Amino acid sequence: MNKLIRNISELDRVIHEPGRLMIAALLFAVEQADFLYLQHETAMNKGTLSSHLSRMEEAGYVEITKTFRAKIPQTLLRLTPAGREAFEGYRKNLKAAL
Amino acid sequence: MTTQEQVQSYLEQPKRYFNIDGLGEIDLGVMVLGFNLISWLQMLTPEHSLWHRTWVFLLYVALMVMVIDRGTKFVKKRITYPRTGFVEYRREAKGRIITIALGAVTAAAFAVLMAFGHVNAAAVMGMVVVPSYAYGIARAVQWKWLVVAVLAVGTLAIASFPASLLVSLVPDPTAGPKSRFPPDLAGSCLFEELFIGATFLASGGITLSRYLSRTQAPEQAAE
Repeated sequence: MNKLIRNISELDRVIHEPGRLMIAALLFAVEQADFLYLQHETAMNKGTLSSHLSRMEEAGYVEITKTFRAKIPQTLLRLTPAGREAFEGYRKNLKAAL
Repeated sequence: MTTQEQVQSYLEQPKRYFNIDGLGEIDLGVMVLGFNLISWLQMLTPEHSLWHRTWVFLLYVALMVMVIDRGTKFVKKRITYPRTGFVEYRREAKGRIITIALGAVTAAAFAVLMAFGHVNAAAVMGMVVVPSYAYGIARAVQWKWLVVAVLAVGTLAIASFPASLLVSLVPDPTAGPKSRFPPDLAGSCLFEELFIGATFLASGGITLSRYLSRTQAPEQAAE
């Protein structure tokens, strides 16, 4: 198989979706962030963001922790080591493919 | 914009978020004005006074850093996190070392320029501050280019002040740092510091007021 096509086919489908790519990149640059921050930065509605995060959690890329901050519920999100590795791999493959 | 550029932009977004409420600039402004204040105090007081002691200077800097750090955390916790979300930044040793090294190299270059030649202190400070501000802050927020222009024009104006005016700004020709630097140089440094600090503070204040008017407090959002 042509190397270029192989690189494209090797792109991680979970991360390749534009919404999830945005979430992965935002979480990659920080230690952790809450749901409100991601909602503000991505301009996605709660439903769409939740669905993307569930998909990423299923893949083992995101760790979701429910907690409280000053008696207000807070959902903390962070990329798992597997998620960081997958995002780095995705960037590498993308660079090679383009 | 290519996908790679888009990804790079997403990766830089959290850094820009730190100044979404203007606190990044307010912190810088308070720090610059704090250093300006102690420089003035050293010039206004005799050489044997408390303000010239190294431990007083170190204590002053430590207190200033603590007030800025605690103040920022307080405001972020009460205002920013409930409105636009919480972020915990990565503590990477590599990034800190690069920042400290860059700061040290800049300070050393500045000191060498001061010691070896009759340089225009305001122009040198401006050459460091204006591009750094343009790259770090104005690149992401369009109206901040106006602040870049104000900083550049103000610096040029201060740099072109006559030496006699700058000397008149320094109170005691025999006191403090002025004994180590020519009076016009000390005056130029003090005036430029004051201008940069006040500009950062004003720009940060405008950003904070815009942020408060554009975002809703949680109870208002719930309604």
